[in-house]
Amino acid sequence: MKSRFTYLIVIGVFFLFSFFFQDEIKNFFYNLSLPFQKSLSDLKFFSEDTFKIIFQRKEIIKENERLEKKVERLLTEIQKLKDLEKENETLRKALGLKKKKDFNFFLSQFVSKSIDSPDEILIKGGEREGIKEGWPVITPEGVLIGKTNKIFKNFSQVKLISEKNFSFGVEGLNKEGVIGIIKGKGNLKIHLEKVPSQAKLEKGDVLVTIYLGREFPEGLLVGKIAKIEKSDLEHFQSAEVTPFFKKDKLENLLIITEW
Amino acid sequence: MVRKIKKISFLFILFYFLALLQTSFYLNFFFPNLIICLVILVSLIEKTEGEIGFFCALFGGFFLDIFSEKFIGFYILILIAIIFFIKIIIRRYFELPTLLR
Repeated sequence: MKSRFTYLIVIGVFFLFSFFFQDEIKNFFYNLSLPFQKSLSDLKFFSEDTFKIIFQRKEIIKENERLEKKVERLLTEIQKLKDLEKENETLRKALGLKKKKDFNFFLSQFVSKSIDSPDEILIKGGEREGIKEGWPVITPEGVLIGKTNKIFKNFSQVKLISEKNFSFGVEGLNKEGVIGIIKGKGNLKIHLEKVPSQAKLEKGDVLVTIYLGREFPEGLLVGKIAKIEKSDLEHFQSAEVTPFFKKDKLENLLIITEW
Repeated sequence: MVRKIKKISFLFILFYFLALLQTSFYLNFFFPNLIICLVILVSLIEKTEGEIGFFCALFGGFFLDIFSEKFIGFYILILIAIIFFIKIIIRRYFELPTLLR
C-alpha cells in the first residue's frame, strides 16, 4: 500500500515537472540521441549498400554505364542552358525587367522519424537558428517535403505533405490548364483533387507548387500522376500521385526561410 | 535496494535503445512498435503483484512521448492503463505460466 502511494507521488511530481518543461525535456533527449541516431542511420545505409553490391552486382554495372551516358548528355544540356541564361539576362536588362527572386534557405539534416506517425520527421535547426513554424522544407533537388510544425531549441518537427489535412495548390509542369489541390491522405500517400474535367491530365505528369496564398514558393517539385480518377458526371477529376521524396533516403534538407 | 535500482536503470536504457532503434530505421514493410510489444509481453509474463510492468509502462510511455508529437504523459497513461487492465484480467480469470514469477 505504502509503495503504491510512493509510486503515485513519483508519477504526480514527474507529470507536474514535465508539464512545465515539455519542450526542454524533448530537446534534451533529441540532443542526447543525435550521435546514436546518426550511427544507426549510417549502419542502415551501410548494410543496405553492402547487400545491394552483393546481390545486384550485374544490375549496378549496367546502371553505371547507363548513368555515365546520361551524365554526358546532361553536360551538353547544361552548356546549352548556360548560353540561354546569358541570353535571357541580356534580354531582361534590355527590357528593364527585374530578375526573378531566389529564395533564402537554411541547411538542415534529417534526424529521425516520428515513433508513432509515418508522416512526421525531426530535423536539425530550431529556435536558436531562427527557424519558425510553417516554413517549407525541401530536398537539395527542389522536391517539397513538408513544412515545419513544432519548433524546439535545436530541432524542428516537420509535417510531411502526405500528412492528413495537409493541402496546397499545384499545377502540371509545362501543362496548361492542369491546376488542382494536393491533399495528404496519411501513410506517405497524396491525392490530387479539384482538377477541372476539361484539363488534359495524363499518367506521369509532373506536378509543381504554385504561389497560392504564399504558402509555398512556386515551382517546387511535388510528385507525378500515378492513376487518374475521372467521371463524366463530375465537374472535377482527381488522381493518385506518387510523391517524389523518398522518406528512407532523406539526408540533407533545406528549410526555406524567405520566398 | 541496489538490485532494484540496477533493474530500473537497465529498463530505462533498454527502452531508450528500443526507441532509438524504432526512430532510426525506416522499414518499408509493417513493423510493430517494439516498446508497446515489450510492455504487453512483460505484463503477461510477470506475476500480478510485480512492479516491473509498471516501470516498463512508465519508461516505455515516456520514450514514446519523447519521440512523438504528443505531450509527455500521453503514452505513459495509456500504457499504465493497459498494464493494470491486463493484470486485473489475469488475476480474476486465469493465470498464465510465467518466467518472471
